[in-house]
Amino acid sequence: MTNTRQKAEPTLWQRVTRVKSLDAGDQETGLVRSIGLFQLTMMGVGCTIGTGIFFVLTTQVPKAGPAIVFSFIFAAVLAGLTALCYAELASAVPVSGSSYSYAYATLGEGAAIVVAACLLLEYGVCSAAVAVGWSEYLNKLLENLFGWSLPDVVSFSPAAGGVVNLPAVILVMLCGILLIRGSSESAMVNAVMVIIKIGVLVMFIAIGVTGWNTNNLADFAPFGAAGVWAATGGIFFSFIGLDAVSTAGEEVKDPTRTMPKAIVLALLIVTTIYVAVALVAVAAQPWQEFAGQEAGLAQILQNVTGQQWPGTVLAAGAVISIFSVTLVTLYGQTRILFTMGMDGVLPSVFRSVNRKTQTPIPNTIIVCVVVSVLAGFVPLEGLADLTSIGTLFAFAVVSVAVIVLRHTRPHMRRTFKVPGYPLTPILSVLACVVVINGLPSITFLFFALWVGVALVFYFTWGIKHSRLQLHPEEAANQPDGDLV
Amino acid sequence: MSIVVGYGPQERGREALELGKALAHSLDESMVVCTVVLDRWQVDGLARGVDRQYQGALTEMARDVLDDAKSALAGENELSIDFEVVAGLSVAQALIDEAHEREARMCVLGSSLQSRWGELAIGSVSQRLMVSSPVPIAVAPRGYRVQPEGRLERVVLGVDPERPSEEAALAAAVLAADAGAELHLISFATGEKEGMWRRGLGEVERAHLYQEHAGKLLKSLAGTINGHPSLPAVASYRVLHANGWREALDKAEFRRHGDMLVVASSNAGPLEQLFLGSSAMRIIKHSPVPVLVLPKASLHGEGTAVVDLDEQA
Repeated sequence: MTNTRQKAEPTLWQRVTRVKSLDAGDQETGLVRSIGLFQLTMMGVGCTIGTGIFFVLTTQVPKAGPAIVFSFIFAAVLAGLTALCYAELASAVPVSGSSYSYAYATLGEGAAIVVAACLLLEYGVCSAAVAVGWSEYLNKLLENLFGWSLPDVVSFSPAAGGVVNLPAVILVMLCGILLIRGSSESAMVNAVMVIIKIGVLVMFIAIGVTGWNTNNLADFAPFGAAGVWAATGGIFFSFIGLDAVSTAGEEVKDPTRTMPKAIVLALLIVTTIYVAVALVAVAAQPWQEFAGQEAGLAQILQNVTGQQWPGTVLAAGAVISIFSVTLVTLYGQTRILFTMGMDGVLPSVFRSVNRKTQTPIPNTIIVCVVVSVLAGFVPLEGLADLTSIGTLFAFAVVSVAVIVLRHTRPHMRRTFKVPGYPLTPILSVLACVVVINGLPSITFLFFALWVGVALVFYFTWGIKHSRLQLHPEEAANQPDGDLV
Repeated sequence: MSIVVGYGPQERGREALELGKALAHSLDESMVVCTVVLDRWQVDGLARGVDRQYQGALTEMARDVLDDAKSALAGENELSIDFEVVAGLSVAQALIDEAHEREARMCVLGSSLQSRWGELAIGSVSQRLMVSSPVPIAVAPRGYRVQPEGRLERVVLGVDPERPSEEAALAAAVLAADAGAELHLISFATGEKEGMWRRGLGEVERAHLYQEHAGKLLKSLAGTINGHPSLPAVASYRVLHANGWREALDKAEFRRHGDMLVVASSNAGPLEQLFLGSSAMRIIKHSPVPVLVLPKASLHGEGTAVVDLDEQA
C-alpha cells in the first residue's frame, strides 16, 4: 500500500488511502497548555448540555416508557467511550480540526469522505433539527405571552400535519445572515447561554418534582430492554457535543490524566441533570401522553402547576439558548465544508472567502438554503435520528481508527492514549453498532443512501480534484513512523 | 518606537505602504506592516476545532497578502521592516493592540478608507479608531505614491478656531522637528461654520469677524510654538476663506509630494459628530494629501508630544 511509485499513475486503492500530511506550521502554533480540570469539565458540560433534552423526550419516551432513564445512562456511557477514543485520535494529529480532518490525516481520503458525510448530518441536519425544536418552543412562548401562535399549516412539516415549518426556516435564514456578516458568539454570550440552559432545566426539576406521581412509574418498562435500546439512539442526540473536549487536547495541562477525568466528570454532571429531568418528567406525566407533545418540558410544567408562568419561563429559556446552538452548529458546518473545499474534495465555491467580512459567503448561503429546506419539510424525529446515526457512525469509524493506528503506526506521537485499550475502543464500536441497530430502519435507509451519494460524488469528482491528486507531494503515506 | 502600517486584503493597500515608507524615512523609524485576520469566534463550543482550522486558513491567506507587501517594499534596504499577521475582534482593535504592543509612534492606513472617487472616505470602524486610538493615525489618499527617497517636507496643521488644541499644535511641531520638515498653520473659514458663529450680522461682516478671530488664534499658537527652543519656527500661518471644504482645500494648494496635513480629532461627543460631522472628518474627506489625525487619547497619554517636550526643555 505504501510503495507509491511517484512517476506512475496511482492505483485506486492508493488514491483512496492517501493521507493528508499536516504541517503544524499551517496553523497558529503556540497553543499553551493552560486548561485545567475544572475549565475542561465546564467546557464539556457547556458543550453537551442543552438542546436535545428539550425535545427528545417527546419522541423517545413512547418507545421505552419510564425506563427511558436507563436509555440516558447507556447513551452517557456510549458518549464517554466515544469521546475517549476521539481524544486519542485528536491528540495524535498535531493540528485542530474535525473528525474529517483527523480521518484524512490517519485513515486516508476515502474514509475521510465517509466521515465527512456523517459530519454533514452531525452539524447540518442537527441545525435543522434544533431549528424545528426551537419553533415548538417559540409557538409555546407566543401562545403564553400573546394568546396566539402560528397556524398549524406554517408550523409543521408535511409529515406532522402542516405544509412548512416557517419559524424553523426563518431561524436558519436569520442565522445565515448573521454568519455572512461575520457575527459571532462571544465567550460571555456562550457562558450566559449555558447558564440559561442549566437554569431552566434545574427549574424544571425543582417544579416538576412537585407533580411526582408514583403511579406513573408503575408500568416502568412497558417494552422491556428492547425499548430501552431502541430509545438510546435517539437519546444520544442529547449528548452530542462532548467531543469538543476531545479536540482541546493540545491546550490541556497533563492531558493523560485530565482528559479522561474531565470527560467522565462532565458526563456525570450532564447525565445527572438529564436523568433527573427525565425521571421527573415521566413521574409527572404518564408515558403515553408524551407522544406528539410539543414543547414537552414547558407543557409538563404547566400541567403540574396549573399555571402558565413556569412554562413561559422555560420556553423563553429554550428559545434563547436554542437559537445560539443553531448559530454555532451552522457555523461549524460551513467551516467543515470550507476545509473540504480547500482539500479539493468539494468544488472551490466552498472555499471562497469574502475579503472584507472574512466569511465564506457562497458556502454559507448553500448551507442555509439546504438546512432550511430540511428544517421546513422534514419532521423533527427524522432529523434528530439522522443526526444521531451520523454522529454514531463517525464515532464508530473513529474508534476503529484508534485500533487500526495502534497497529499501523504504533510509534506515532500521542499525547493522550485511551485508557483500557483495547477494551475501550472495541466496546465503543460495539455499542455504536448496537445503538444504531435500535434506530428506525428508515433512518438507516436514508443514512445509507446519503453515504452512497457522498461516495458516488467522491469517486466521480472528488478523487480527481483532490489536492492530493494534484499535489501528490502533500500526501504523507509512509510505511511507519510519525506524521510530518 | 515604530510605525504600524495596516495593509488590507481588499483592494490595494499600496497607498499605506508608500506613506509608511515616506514617514519611516523622514522620522528614522522602523516599520511594521500588518494584515488583520478577524478572529471573532472565541468560544469553547461545538465548533471549536473547526474554527481553529478556519483561522489557520485565513492566516495563510493573510500571509499571501503580506507577500504582496513584501515585494512592493523589496527595494527598501535602509528601512527596518517587519511583516506580521495580527488577529483581533475588529480591524481597528487589532491595529490598536499592535500599536500598543510595539509602542508605535503612529498607525498608517490606506485602502481601508478609500472611496471610489479619489477621496478619503471614513467607515464606522475607522471612525472609532479616530476617536479611541492611543496613537495618531495617518491616512493616505488613494493612489498615493512617493518618489524614490521621498520624504516629508511640510507639516501643515489644520486648526479649528472653535476648538483650538495646543497639544495638537505641539504634537505637529514635534513631528516637523523630527522629520526635518517645515511647519505651517492653516485655518479654514468655510461658509457653514460662520453661519453658526454669529447671528444677526451681515454675511460679509460675519466672514470678516470669523477670519479675524481665526487669525488671532493662529498667531497666538504660532507664538507658543516659536517660544519653544527645540521646536522649528512656524514658517507661515493663514486663514483660508472658501465656500465649502473642497474649495478650501483646493485653495490651500497642497503639494502632492511631501505635504502632510495634521488635524486633531474632534472633541465633540459622538452624537454631535453623527449629526453635525466634525471638521476633521470633512477635511480628511477632501484632502488631496495624507492626513494625520491626532485622536484625543493620543494627546493625553504617555509618550506624547507634550511629555516629550517637557523632557527636552
